[in-house]
Amino acid sequence: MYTNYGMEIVRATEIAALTAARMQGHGNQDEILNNTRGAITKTLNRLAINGTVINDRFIKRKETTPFPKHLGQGGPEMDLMAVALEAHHSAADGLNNSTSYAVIAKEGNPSILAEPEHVQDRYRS
Amino acid sequence: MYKIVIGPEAHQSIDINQPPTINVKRVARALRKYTENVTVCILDQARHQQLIKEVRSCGARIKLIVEGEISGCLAAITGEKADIYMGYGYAPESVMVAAGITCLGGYFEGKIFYENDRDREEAREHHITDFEKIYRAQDLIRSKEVAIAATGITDGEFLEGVRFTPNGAITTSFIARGETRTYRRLETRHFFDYKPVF
Repeated sequence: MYTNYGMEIVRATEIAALTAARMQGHGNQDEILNNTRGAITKTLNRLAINGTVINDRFIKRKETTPFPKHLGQGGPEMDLMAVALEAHHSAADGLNNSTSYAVIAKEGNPSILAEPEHVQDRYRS
Repeated sequence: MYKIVIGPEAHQSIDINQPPTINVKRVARALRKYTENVTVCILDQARHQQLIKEVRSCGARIKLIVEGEISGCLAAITGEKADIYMGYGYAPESVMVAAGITCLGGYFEGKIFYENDRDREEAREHHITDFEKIYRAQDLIRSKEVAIAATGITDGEFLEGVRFTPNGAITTSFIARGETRTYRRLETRHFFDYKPVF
């Protein structure tokens, strides 16, 4: 991976952060999460890669806008992981520690890992 | 997934199957600190009450955060505001943490706890067959060809939040790359008059 794609994906996390920051403290968790996911999707989609989105925790959540399976304008095969808005409850309430993350890796490098729904449900309490 | 994350100085000093007290003391020894001076970052959630009690009983300092598991893990990796991160969290986020470890150094162990047959049955649907598997960073990110980027939204453990200026905003970000372990911290000034509308 000669190109430093980190410099490219940071533009996506910046746009996501700016989008979320404008709605910080409004109290609507789903609105801030969906808007941020929309913003990071649009920016990641501009990259010159063939990106496959993996490890999306919200993939089965009906209230959340899903990431498309593939992103990018064409190029090398890459895997993308994005947490557009970590700590979305905190961001919606104006609390601390809310961040936007993105990871890019060569195709097949990151594992696809998800625990069962019932195990995840226990973490929500 | 129950996970423990530590920085590169305390590399491999933990064992996820051991109780928190032993792991805290091992990390303290590896960092050449008194146990009382080790800071453990834990999410302030109901599921962590027992863990918090145990860490308090061994005398270590605790940094409680309401949300932001990945930020807490990165704070432990860089040793900026914590020495260890411990707690239960989502598995997909662990892959993100493993990417951070590949790029920045550090050590991670994670284990998914299955309480009943329904959990195990559902795990098989996710192609998980080894229910006692301990996940480490190299299991989740298989090579160094990875890069991670993050931008703070509200002030956090690891990054500052967005600050708005009269004609734009200032963001704080970091970029790290696995192959070279280059770690950049950026302060970016955005001018909304010249930015496309998202």
